[in-house]
Amino acid sequence: MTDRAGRSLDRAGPTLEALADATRRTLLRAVADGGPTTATQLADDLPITRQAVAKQLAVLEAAGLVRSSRVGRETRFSACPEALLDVGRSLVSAGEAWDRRIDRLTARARERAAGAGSP
Amino acid sequence: MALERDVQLDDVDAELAWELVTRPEDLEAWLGVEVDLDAAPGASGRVVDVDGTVRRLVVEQVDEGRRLTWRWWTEGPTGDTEHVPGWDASRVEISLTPTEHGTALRVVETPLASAVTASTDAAGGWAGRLFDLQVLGLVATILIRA
Repeated sequence: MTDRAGRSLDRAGPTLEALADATRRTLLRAVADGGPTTATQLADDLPITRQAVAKQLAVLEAAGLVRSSRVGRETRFSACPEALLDVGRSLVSAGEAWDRRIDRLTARARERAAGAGSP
Repeated sequence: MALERDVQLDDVDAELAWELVTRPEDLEAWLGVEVDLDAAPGASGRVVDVDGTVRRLVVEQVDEGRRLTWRWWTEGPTGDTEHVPGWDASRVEISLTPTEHGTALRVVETPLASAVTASTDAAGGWAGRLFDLQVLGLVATILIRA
């Protein structure tokens, strides 16, 4: 119960959804590669308009995949690996939950096939 | 990015396999400790997992003997019976295929777009999405660097 968020695949939805778009993945990779960087710099480096960069960075930030900080008059973006770790943990624990369910299912199937627990 | 599991159920014929995935007594032996699941499209249900997690579900597709899908989500603080935007969901698909010695069962769980994100993305919505290997590659690259 205490680890509910880490155990349910359903909570990974927003992060995975943010990662589902190729433009956002390109941006995230560029942010991770370039360290703290600005939307203007990203638009200069990538075949993406400044407007699209700003829009997609906002989606990535809402999903916790990037964070922004003000440095003087600039807003700089950096990647947040923690959100990816959370997704990784969710996938692993959801997979483990299915492994345990399937172990129990196999045992039940064996019982039923042997004639126990039938209606 | 879906989770997939395959298992071969030996000596289990199609009829027994369908019971194992739809009959409450059988479901409570493996899916969760308390399972309320009526294999009828649109039926609402509830699963209490072995760790105490409570999930609400809605049955989606029922192809008797072959395929059953539902979407489920962790119950919110209000014990919601309807999906609440912002609480995210996933779809579970169970398919059964007869084999020489029994039945092959496949489970696929796919996270669904959150309603919040979907509203900012016209292509989003409740359609389940499969996420490609590029995502995993990206995740690995960034984690290695971190």
